Amino acid sequence: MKTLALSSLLACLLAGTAMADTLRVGTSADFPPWESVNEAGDVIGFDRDVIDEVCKRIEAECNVANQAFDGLLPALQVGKFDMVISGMSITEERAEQVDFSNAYAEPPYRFAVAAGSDLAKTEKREDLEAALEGKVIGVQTGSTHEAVVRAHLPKSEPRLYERNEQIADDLNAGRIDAGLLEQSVWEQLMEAREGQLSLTGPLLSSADYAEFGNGTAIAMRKGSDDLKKRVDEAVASMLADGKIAELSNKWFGYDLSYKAK
Amino acid sequence: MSPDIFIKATPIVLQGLQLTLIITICSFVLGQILALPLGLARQANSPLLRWPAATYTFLIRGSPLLVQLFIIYYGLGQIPAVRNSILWPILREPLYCGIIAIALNSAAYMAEVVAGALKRVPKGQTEACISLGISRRHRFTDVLLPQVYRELLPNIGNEIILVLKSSSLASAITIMEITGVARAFTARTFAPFEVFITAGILYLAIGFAFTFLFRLLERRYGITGTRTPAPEASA
Repeated sequence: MKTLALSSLLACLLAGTAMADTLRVGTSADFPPWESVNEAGDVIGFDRDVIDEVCKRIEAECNVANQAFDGLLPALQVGKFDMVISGMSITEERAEQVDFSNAYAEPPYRFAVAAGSDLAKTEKREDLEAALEGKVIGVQTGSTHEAVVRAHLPKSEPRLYERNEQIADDLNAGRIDAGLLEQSVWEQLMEAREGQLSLTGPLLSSADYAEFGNGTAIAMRKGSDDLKKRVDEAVASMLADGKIAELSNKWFGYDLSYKAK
Repeated sequence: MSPDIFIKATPIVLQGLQLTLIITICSFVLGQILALPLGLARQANSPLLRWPAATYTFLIRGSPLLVQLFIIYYGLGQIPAVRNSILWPILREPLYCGIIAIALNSAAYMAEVVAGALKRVPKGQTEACISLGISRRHRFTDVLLPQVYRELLPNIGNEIILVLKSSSLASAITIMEITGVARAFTARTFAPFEVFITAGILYLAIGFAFTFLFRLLERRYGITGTRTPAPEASA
């Protein structure tokens, strides 16, 4: 009897592992069009479509959960998530803590200022850097933008915000002089704040400031080599067959799929 | 868990110490100053004084401090009339917004405590003062206030600890006090345990220092419930 009970228990356990595994995915859905929450409370966006396609290609079931950006990697490390997809750039500091898949995208970045600011008409990067000396620049806590400001604009004061809307609102209120975010994020923010902000300077990439990182990738816990291999393959195939470009065009209106250097 | 992150975290967390102390002390003092008129109004005979004060303490005590911080910092900043007012140079700065929000919050709690203490002063004292011909002003400054504040010393000591802990919310409006720098450092190193433990120890140490200070004040000036003989005035 005992053996029967034990063996049936074992059978159940084995059956569990044999089925398509359920992966928990973390994202910070405050970053449209990368990821945001729609009226129904579902996470939608470019990353959502990318991760759904990845999960389809690795034949896994994925549950996406929404959490603040600065807590995503700690949650990944303690095992609350199996993957994190949140427009996250690969940086050295992050790569020490977690493993990244191959990059799937590389977005352009941009400075923005309040409409009518003297800084609004700057066109060259060097001029903008000089003009930003001694100014307060709003960035998101823990973002690569924060690292860029600290490394390349040492004479400016970075001010750290939890959310990008707060940067836009404080720009408009005149509390800060400039903000550094992704071009696509500014576009969203400016849509909701007609005529309040204006973009300035050129489009920026990791070619301008290495701190922007080496493209956007999916983060996984250190040591999840099998998962990483499958995700890498899925990302490579999605880049090769144009799926990423297609999703990018759908959400951004332009192609920001990662191009190998 | 790694010991060298503890060592790395300590000087970083200490960067926030100055701002934490500034916020705590300024908010506490401002809160205490506002609490007295509010507490008096809570106990006043005229409903024109009593009702606004009661409404104020009800609203402030009934809503979270974080919400109040957001309303004062992000909310008021949205209104063009506020941005064009003479108050803008103050409300523009996150630090002042933080101090004001925490002070207004602390004042509401303290006002209720002050009102309670005023109520406990025996009526006979007022009658005695009147029959002795002590003026209204002196009745207030020489009889009422010293009693009330000496009795309230333990509550005041408690309040400064609460204000200290409230100051940790200021990081939500970009102020880099202890919690703010700890969060920013965590976002870079992904080592929340070491950094927040270090921050927690620092808060404990500051809290201990305030407690010790108020213990001294209580021993010197406090009124204990049971009238033990006053210690020999050695100082």
